[in-house]
Amino acid sequence: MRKWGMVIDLDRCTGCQACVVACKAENNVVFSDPTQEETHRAISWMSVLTVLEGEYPDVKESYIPRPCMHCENPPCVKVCPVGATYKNPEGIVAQVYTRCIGCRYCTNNCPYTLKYFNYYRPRWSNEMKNLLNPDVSKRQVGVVEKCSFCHHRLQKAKEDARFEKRELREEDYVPACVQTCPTGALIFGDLQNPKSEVHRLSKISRAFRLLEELGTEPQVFYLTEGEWHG
Amino acid sequence: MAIKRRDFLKIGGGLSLSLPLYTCISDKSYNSTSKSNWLAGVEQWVPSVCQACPGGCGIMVRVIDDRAVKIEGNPLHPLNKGKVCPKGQAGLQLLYSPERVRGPLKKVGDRNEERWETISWDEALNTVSTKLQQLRESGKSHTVAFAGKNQQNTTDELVSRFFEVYGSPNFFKFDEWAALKNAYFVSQGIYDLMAVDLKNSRLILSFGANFLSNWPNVMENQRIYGEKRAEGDLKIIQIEPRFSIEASRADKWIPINRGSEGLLALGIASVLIKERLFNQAFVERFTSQFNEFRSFILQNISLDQVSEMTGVPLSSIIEIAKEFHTRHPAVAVSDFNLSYSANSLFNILAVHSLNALAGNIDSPGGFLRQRQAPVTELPPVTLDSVAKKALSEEEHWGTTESDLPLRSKNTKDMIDSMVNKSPYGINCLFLSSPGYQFVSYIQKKKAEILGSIPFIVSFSPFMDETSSLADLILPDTTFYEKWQDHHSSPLSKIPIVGISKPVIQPLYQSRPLESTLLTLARTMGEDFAQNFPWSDYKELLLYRMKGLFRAKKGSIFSSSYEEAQLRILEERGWWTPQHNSEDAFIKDLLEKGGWQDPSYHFNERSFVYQNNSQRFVFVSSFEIEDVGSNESQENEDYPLRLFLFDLPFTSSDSSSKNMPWYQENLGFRFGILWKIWVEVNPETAGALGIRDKDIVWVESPQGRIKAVARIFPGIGPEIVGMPLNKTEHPLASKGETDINDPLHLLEETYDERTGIPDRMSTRVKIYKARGR
Amino acid sequence: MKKLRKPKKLGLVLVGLTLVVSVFLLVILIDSWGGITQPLPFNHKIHTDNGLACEDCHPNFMEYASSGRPELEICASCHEEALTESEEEKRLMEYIQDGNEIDWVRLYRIPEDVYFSHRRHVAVGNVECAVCHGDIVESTRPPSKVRKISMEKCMDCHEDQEANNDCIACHR
Repeated sequence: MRKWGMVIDLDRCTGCQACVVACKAENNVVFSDPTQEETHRAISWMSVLTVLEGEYPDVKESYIPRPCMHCENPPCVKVCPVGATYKNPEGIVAQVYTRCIGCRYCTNNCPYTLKYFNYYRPRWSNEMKNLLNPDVSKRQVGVVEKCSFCHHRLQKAKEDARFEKRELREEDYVPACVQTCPTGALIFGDLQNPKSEVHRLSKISRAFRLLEELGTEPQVFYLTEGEWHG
Repeated sequence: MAIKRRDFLKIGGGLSLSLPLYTCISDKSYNSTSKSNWLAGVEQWVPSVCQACPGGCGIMVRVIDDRAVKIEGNPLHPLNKGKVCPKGQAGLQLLYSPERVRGPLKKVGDRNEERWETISWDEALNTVSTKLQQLRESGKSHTVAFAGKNQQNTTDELVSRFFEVYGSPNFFKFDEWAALKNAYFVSQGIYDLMAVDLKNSRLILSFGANFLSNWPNVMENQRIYGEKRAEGDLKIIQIEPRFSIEASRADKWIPINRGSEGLLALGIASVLIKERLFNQAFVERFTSQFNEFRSFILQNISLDQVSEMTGVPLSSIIEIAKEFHTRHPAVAVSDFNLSYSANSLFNILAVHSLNALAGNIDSPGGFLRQRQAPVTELPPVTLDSVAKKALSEEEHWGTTESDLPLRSKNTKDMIDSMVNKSPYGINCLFLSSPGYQFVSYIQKKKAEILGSIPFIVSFSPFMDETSSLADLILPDTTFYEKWQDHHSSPLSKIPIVGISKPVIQPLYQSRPLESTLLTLARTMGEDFAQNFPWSDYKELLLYRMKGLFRAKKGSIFSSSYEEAQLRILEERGWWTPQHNSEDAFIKDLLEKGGWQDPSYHFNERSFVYQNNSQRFVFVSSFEIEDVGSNESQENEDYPLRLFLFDLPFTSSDSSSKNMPWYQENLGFRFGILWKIWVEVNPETAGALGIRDKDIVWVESPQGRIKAVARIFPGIGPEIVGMPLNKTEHPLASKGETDINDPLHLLEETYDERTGIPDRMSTRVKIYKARGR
Repeated sequence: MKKLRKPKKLGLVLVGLTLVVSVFLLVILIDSWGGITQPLPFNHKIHTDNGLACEDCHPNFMEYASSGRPELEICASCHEEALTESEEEKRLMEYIQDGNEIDWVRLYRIPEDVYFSHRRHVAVGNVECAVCHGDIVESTRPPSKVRKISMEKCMDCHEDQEANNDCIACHR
């Protein structure tokens, strides 16, 4: 069985936000408004965290893109009372909106705060409804949502492969953020496959994971910045 | 009959369940009369060209039936190779913006109010045509003006052709890169931009250049950045007052006093010259007036003084100079950011002189000049006597004596001369998405403009500031809905021509500007119309593209492998045709999305140096006041200097406010979604009693605006930074953003030599606002 | 006669009330549920008997997620001239003459949270049309009620065929 995972090379990231917008466009995530900003209720499955250190003029800044970590040992799954969030056999932490009862246990239990609750009905103007992706649901108010590694693309890639009577190739399935990343900072693939780039990179000495000490075993690996960054 | 509590609950439960069930069933997605319920569901990926910025990246649009739902990069496009920036990703929000103008509109009643009446295209075109003919017949064709954005496409040619044939010299485009072109004109005799070969360069010495966020070829630069960072073969030194995105990605950030970049460059030059760390062979063969330059530097430049005036430590200056020499090939780059000061030309020329000292012009890893793509030229125009006479009229926005080609073209001059009716009044003004600066300035002068120009026509696809001025709106489509081409920015070394057909049919009653002009041309009489023999814009575009087939070089977009093959062949003088006929060529061209020529030919001296001497000219006739940074006078009332910066992918842009997905991320470094912020050094904030996230007023002698204060160690204690082009509401309709436009804080000062607005000398004070 | 105790009385009233409301709701429910009227009373049987295959009118199910709504062009390719004397065909001819697409109402519905691909099932999984669409080819009049596909039916079939039963394989 495959195990999908991501490697994020912080050396390459320029914080350009292409991944963030690509994610919203692919997954029908509605844009925020000033009220949501005030109440911290804006939704963004992928977000770039900035870490600024030092004093003028010796400052440095790092950009850390954060999708769902798709933990091997996901704290959100443990507390879901209805099985709306679960770990699928290919390593994706899935969210099934129709099962979700909106209790928000999972959002509270995610140490990375990468699960988002729909406090509002998404407000798409009639014009903008045209750009909604039919492969992904429009969310209702009252459900939790999160990065899905664009799993609908996986289903389509599998369908394409079977239609063409061939095996699924690793490169057939790429989430929207990875596809658009201009610098190649986001790398995606099968962590189980010893020949894959993500497998190799996840083992190098620069690789680390966020809040590793919690034992959540994220399937998103980061590569630290090199010496150039002081 | 006994009812148990449990039964009661069941009934109640059933009831409460049936309610949501009912609402669920009556949900619109089940609405049996809805047409969208059952469509063919035919899905395709249509190649196109993104024109959300001047970059022209190749994109593929996912179209399901008649809806465009997602944009990805065209993997074959040599500029972006399958990648798309955040603005491009949000592009469909332009297409489906609620602010789209649905069809031709006529303003009724008071011109200052916005009451509109829907009219037919026939009526609209008739009105314009009649107006144009009347003015022409009375010998006033030169009093018609057109203001648009600088685009690298055939639309530009069509518009200028229209106004030439009509007989108006007043075709205005704001070009934010003009200062650089002027500098290359002075030093190399070319009025063009030079490409930077970042891929082969080992040191990027950037004087405030936003090469990762605001250049038209940023996608190319981002890719090269990623590759070179991974290889470890990259060094960036970013010199600018504020810790920008580029500074955060640089190996070293060196803050500098704004406006003194040129002086620092001369300081570096003085080290190179004194220590003989320059490329003597190049200087001898390819430059002139080096001796004058050297004596100017030796006599006038003292490193201590440079250090003091620039704020850059002496040791850093020497270090930079040595590194610039040792990490050969190194490039010293600047961009339009240096143009926004009163000594812009000096700054840019001084920086570019470092490239000549290092011998990095027309050499790998240095500055290169892109060859023009061999598209077919439009046939020459035949002008009638009216047009000939009118074209000899003085161009409207001043012809101040200047040694520079583009002295006259700036927003302020243009609007002021129209408002002052000098040298003559403008009777009819056409507006087609002129840039952000323009929009900002016309907002300020709205009343005067309406008072002095009797008839204004807007082509804007959106209800925005330009359309609010108009008496008539002839809504253009967005670029997704029309035939279009795009020529790569000269900042890339290879010529690329992107071309595409409409991704979807025009929405509502909008109509491509190009068709509108061609239709108008046909109403203007036979002599006029014969200059526009094409039945539609598609025919005109394909006519131009045939030149690519006949040129016998380059190729339609292909895989990197084929591209490498072709480059090797071409650089050795070979070329193999891939298509039997023009038709086959055009078909393939449209399928792949464009054409490119990957080869680059070095040592074509007359192409890189077009001045008389065919050499790089060192300029040393600087006025000493140019050299000093143009810091405005200390002022107790306004103790801080205002630093305005462009947010990524927004420079000169006026459409991004219709892209909320994109707008909400612009403040990501400051945790801000929908506010305008002001960056304050911790020390300064402490002294002023301002805490992080306080709401403050930023006030200049010109006015004040409200912003969120963010404490930021990436800016000096005497400066405050503010972003341009940030909106405070998603889908901000016109008017909502103009109140808080930091451009309105600027004093109206301009570089006298180039006419470019000075963004650097305004002083401000900040203080806490009461309440929130 | 024994006096009814108060609580019970209240209970009965409540039961009555609930029933009334429920019936009312049920009526609305049934009303919104059923009753679809096609613009023309299309006869599947006549067409299939005359040798038309499913893909002649629903051209996309081998290639796309949606099977495709039959377009007027398809009708017009056979009905160049009226083939019968029927009233229905007369109305069809009007559509063809005016060039107005026929606004066929979708009969089979799946909930908003399900992603269903015809290609996946028909082209890849070799599922016969009738497995989900039953005897629609035999119908002589358009069914008057929306046909919903139940999740149970999906799951059963998936189990039988050993197809993926992971939630996110179908739920979007």
